[in-house]
Amino acid sequence: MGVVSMERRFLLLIFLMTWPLMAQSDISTESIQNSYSFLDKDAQVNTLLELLFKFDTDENARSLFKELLPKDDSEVHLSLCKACYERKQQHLIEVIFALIPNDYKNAALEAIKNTGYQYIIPRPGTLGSNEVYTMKLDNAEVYFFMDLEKYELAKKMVENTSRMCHSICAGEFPLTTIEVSPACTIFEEPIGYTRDLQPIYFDFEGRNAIEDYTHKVAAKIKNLLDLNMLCVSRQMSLVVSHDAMRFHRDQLPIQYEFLNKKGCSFPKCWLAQDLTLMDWDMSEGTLSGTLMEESSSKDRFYFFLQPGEVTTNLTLDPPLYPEDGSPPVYPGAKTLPFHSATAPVDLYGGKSAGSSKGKRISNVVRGVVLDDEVQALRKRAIPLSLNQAKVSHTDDKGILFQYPSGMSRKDFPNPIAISVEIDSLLRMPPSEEVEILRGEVLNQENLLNGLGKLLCMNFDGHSLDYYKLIKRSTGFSNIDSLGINIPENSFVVMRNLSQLPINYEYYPLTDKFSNSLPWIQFYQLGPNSLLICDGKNIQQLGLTPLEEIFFRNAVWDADSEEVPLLSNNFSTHLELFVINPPQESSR
Amino acid sequence: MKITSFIYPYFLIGSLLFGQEDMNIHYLKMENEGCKENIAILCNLKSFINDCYAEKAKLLTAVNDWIQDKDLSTTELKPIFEELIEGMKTLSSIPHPNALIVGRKNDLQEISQKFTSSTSKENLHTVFSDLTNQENLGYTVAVIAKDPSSLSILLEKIRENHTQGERVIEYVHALKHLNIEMIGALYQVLQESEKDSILESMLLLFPESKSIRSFITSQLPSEDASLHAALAKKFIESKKDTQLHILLGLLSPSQIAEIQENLKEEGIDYTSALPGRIGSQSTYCANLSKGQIFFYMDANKFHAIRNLVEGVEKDMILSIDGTPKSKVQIVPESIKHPNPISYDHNNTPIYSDTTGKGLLAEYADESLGLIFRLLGYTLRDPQVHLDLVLNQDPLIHPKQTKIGQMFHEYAMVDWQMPDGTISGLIVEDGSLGDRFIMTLFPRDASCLSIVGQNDLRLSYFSPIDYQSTITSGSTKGKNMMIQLCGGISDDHVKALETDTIPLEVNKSVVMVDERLYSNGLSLKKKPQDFRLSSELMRWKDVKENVDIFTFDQKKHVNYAARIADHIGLTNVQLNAMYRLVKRTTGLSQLSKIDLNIPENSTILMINRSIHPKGYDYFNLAEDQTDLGRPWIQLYRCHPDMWIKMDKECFDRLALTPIEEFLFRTTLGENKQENDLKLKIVTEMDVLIFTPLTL
Repeated sequence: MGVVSMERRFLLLIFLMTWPLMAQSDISTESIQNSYSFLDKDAQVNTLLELLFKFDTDENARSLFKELLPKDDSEVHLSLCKACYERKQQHLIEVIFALIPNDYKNAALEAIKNTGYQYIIPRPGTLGSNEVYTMKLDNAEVYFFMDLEKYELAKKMVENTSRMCHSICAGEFPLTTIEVSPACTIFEEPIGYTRDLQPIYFDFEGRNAIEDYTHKVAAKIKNLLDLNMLCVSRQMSLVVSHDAMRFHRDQLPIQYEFLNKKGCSFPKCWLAQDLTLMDWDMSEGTLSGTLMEESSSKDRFYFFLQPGEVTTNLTLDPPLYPEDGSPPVYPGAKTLPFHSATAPVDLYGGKSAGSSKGKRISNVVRGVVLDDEVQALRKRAIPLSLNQAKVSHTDDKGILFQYPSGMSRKDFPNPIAISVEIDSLLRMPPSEEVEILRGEVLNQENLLNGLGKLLCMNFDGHSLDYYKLIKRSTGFSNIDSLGINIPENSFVVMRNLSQLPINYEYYPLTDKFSNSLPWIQFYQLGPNSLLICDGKNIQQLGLTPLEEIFFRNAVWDADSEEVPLLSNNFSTHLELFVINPPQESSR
Repeated sequence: MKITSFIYPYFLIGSLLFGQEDMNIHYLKMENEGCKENIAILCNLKSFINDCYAEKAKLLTAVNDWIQDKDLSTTELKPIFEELIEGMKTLSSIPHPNALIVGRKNDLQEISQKFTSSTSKENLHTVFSDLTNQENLGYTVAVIAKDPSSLSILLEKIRENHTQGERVIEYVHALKHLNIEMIGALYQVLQESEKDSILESMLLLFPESKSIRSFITSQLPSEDASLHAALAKKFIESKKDTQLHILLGLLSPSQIAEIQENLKEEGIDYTSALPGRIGSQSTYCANLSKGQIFFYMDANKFHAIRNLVEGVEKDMILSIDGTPKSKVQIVPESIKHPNPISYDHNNTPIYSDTTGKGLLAEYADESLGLIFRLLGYTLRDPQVHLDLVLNQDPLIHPKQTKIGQMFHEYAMVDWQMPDGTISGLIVEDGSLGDRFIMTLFPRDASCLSIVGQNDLRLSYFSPIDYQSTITSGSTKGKNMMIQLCGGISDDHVKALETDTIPLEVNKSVVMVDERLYSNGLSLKKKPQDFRLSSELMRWKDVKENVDIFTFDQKKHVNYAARIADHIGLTNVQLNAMYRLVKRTTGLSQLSKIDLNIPENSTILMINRSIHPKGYDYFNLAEDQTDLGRPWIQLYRCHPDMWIKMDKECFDRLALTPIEEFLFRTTLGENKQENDLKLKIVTEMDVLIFTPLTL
C-alpha cells in the first residue's frame, strides 16, 4: 500500500468520522458513495477495513461495507483478506467472499495461497459453507446451513442484547440453578394495557428485536431449506457460565399443544429447532457449543462454536403420538439425545487467553414442519457420516467394536487382567500441559503375551514402549504434539487408569481438533476397555479437557434435582502400550 | 368492540382455540352491564380452561382484572372464586409449576387477596384440605391465606398429615413463602415443643428470606437463654458455623456471654466468626504498608446485603454494560440508569427500575448508619455500586476516586456459591507486593472498608475451587460485590484509630538480598552464577492434585551443599529432594503432600515455574482463616529468590490455585487478548535438610 498523502489522510479521517452519522441520517447511499469516491485507493481500502472489522458489531458498518465493497477488484479483495489474517479475524474473509462473484472469490483464494496464509475451508453450518449438510444422531436429523443474511441476523441479535432488559430466572427443570435471561423471553405477554387498550410491554425494544429475529429466521429456513415453520416459538439464553448447564432432553410444550389441537388427521410432521450459536465476546483460543450423546455407542459429539463465528444446527425430531391413536399430549416425548450447552472453554491444551473466557448466546427458533418438505430437504442435503463404533466381534472374553476411522475398542466384562511391572516412571518434557512419563517394563515378553491373549493377537518378537500420560487441566491436548515417538507402523493399545467419582463417565480421548466437521467426537473408554489403533491413527486423537461437565453421566445429571455435589477433583491417566513390529535383524 | 354477553363463551372458546388470548383480556376489561350472566358463564369455564396451562394462567389474570372493576357481592363472587381455586389447583399440578408461578405471582396474590376478603372459614378449610398435599404447599399458603387465624387450620392439617419429624420440613417449606405477619401468627399458634425446631429452621433460612430475617431479628433476642444455648449447641454439633454466627450476631453481648458460659461448662468449643462477618463482635483493623482495612458486620447490615441479593433475583431489571470495561458485563439497570428515564404528565419521575433503585437506597441508608455508628464517619456524596460477579469476565479494579480523602466499603455476598468454593477481593500490599485474598465462602457475607487510600491495588473475582482435591465441578456459582464510597474529611482519618481490634499481618522486613517474614519464612536472593539442577526426575505420587517427582539424592549431595552454604545452613545434610508440579485449581496444602519431613528439618524451596510475560510469581499461599484472619496470603516468590523455612512454616503453606488472574502483574486488567499465552504451571523444588548425624 502506498503512502497516503496528507490531503487524502484528511479526507479519510473526515470520512471515518462522519460515516456513522451519514449512515444514520437521511443522507442517500449515493452521497456516501460520492464522498467515498473522493478517497484514493489506499484510503478506500483503509475505510473498507475499518468497516469490515466493525461488521460483526455495528449494523451501519455492515450496510456500508456491503455497499462500498468493489465486487470486481481483486487487488482490494486480497488486501482485505490479508488484513483479516493479520488481525486473526479469518471468519471475516467469508463475509468478503459472500459478497463477491465466484470468479473473484476463486481469484482471491489463489492469491491467498501465494501469500503463505492458509485458507481453512469453512465447516458445515458456518458462514462460507454454502451447501446444506446433514447427519443423523439417534432419531434426530441435524442440518447445517448458513448464509450471510442469517449470519447478519445473529450478529444483530448479539448487538441487541445490550439494548434488552434482562432478569434472573430460575431455570426450567432440570436446570435448578438460576441464569440470566432476556426479560422479553420470560414475559412474552403484555404486563398491562393503556386506557385505550394498547398493550404495555415490559421490554418492548427487546421483544421487537427477538420477534423480528424469529420471523426472519423462519423466513430464512423457508428460503434456504424449503421448510415452512408452523407454530413458531422462541427462546434466547445468555450463556455466561456453566451454572445453569445440565444434560437434558428438550420438551416443546407449545408445539405439542399445537399438534394436540390439530388432532390425528394432521399429516406426518417433525419438531424443528433452529439452534443458532452466537459468539458474544468469546476470548481467543476458546470453544463453546453443545455436547450431545449418541445413545447406542455412548460416544459424545461436541457441536462447537469458535470466536467470531455464528453456527446453525437445525434439528428435526419426530413427535411421539400415543399408541391409542389419540393426538399427542403435552409435554410429549422428550426430543433430541441427551445434550448440554457449555460456556466457552479452552481450546488448546498448552495455551490460553486466561481466566476470562467470554460468553455466547443461544437462540432457538422452534416449530413444526411437514414430512414431505423434510423428505425433499433430505434428498438434496449432503450427508455427513459419524465415526460410529459398531460391534465387529463378540467372544467369551468381550465385545470388539470397530470404528470406521480404523480404530477399535474391546470391552471386557471384568477388570482387565494384566499387570505392568515397571522399574520407574521417568519424566519426559511436558507438552500440551500433559505429564508424559516413560516406563521401563521389566518383563516385556509377559506383558506382550498378556496383551496378545486379551486381544486375540500374536505379539511374538515384538518390542514394547510404555508411556503414561497424565492430564489435569483444560483444553484439548493433541497427541501428535506431545513429542512421543510412535512409529506409523506400530500398534498402540490404550488403557484408561483414571478413577472418576460415581456418576461420571469415561471420555479420556477426543478427535484432534480440526475445522473440517461441525463436531469433535469424544470417545468413551472405561476402565474395562482397551482402545486399539495404529501409529498413524493415534496422531488424530487428543486428550479431553478436564471440564467436569464433559464427564457427567447424562441421565444422572438430567434427573438430579440438586446442584451437583462436591466430588473428587479428577484427572486423566492413560497408559500407552506402543507395540513395535519385530526388527529386520531379529526375524 | 361491543359484544353481548350471551356470545361470550363462544368468543372465549374461539380465542382459546385460535390463540387470540389477548382478546379475552380486552373483552373482560370492557364495561359490561350483564355481569350476573357472565358470572354464570365464568362458573362453567373449568372445562375450557383445562386446554393448556398457559391459557389458564392468562385467564386467571384476566378474571382477576375483571373482578377489580366490579362491585360484586360475596354471593356473586363465591362461585367465581371456586373456579379460581380450581384453576389454581390445576396450576399447581402441572409438571413445572415454578416457572409459571414465578411469572404470575403478583396476579395470584391479588386474586387471593380478593378471595380471602370475601370467603368463609369453611371454604378455607376445604381449600387447605386439598392443598396440604400439594407440592407447593408453602407457596399456596402464602398466596391464599391472608387471614392469620386461618393458619391454625393449616397447622391442624399439617399435624394431622405429618409425623413430628416431617412437620419441620413442612413448616420450613411454608415459611419460605410467608410474609412477616404470617410468620408471627404461625409462631404464636405453634406448640411449645415445636418452637425450637422452627427457630432452628428459621436460622437456616435466615439468608434466604426477608420475612424470616425481619421476624427473627425481633423475636429471637427475646427468647430465653436456655433456648439460645440449645440452638448454639445444635449448630456446633452439626458444624453449621454460618447459622451459629447468625445466632450470635442477633444477640446482645450479655446474651452471648451467657451462651459462652453455658458452652464452656459443657466443654464445647466453637469457631468464632471471622472479622467482617455476622457474629463477629467487634470492628477489626489490619494495617498494610499502604493503608488500613477495617472489617465489621452486624445483623442489620447482613439483612440489607441479603435484601439486595433477593432484589436482584426477583425484582431488579438487569442490563448489559459494555463500558468502560473491556468485556461486557451484566449489571442491574438501577445502576445503569440512576436518573429518571422520563417524566409522566404530573412531572413525576419514571425510573426504569424503581424497585431496584429503592433497594439500593435502602442498603445505602443502612450502611451509612453503620459506618457512622462504628467508625464515626459521615460520607459526602455517597454512591452505591453493585456488581454481579457471574464469571471472571468483568474481573475489574473497583472504582476509586482520587479526589480528596475517600472511604471505600466493599461488601461481598455469596450468590449460589456451591460448597467447596471461595471467592473474594484481592488486595495487593503496595511496597512488598504480597497479595491478600479477602475471603468469601458459601452462605457468607463479608464487609471491609479502606479509608483514605486511593492507590491500593484491588480486584475481585467469581468463585473458584477452595481445595485442590474436591470440586463443585463446572458449576461454580456467583457472588455480588457492593461498593459504597464517599468523601470524608482529613480530620476523620486521623481520629479513626479508636475502638478497633488490630489484626496481625504477616509482613516482611527487607534486608540486603533477603526478606524475612514474621512467621520465620525468609526469601534470599540466589547467586547469579548458580545453575539449577536439570537431572531426570522420577514420578513418585500424586497428592493434593500435585504431581510429586523425586530426584536421585546421591547425585545432588554437592549441589545441596552449595545451596546450604549460600543460605547459611551449617552442619546439615540433604535428606530428600522433590519437584512439585501443580496444574489445577484449589489450594494444595503442603502438609497433606506427605513428604515425610523430619521435625527438625530446614526446608528450602526453589520456584522453578516459568510464567509468561505479564505474570508474577504468587505460587505460594497461606490460608490464615484458621488464625482468625479473614484472608489468604499469596507470597510473591520470584525464581531469583530461594525460600527457606522450618517444618512448622512449611506445613502451613499451600500451592496457589492455578487461576490465571491471581498471577497477573496488574490486578484487575482483563483486556481481550489476541495472543494466547502458555498456561501457568507451578513447579517447585523442595530440598529437605536435616542436621548432620556423625
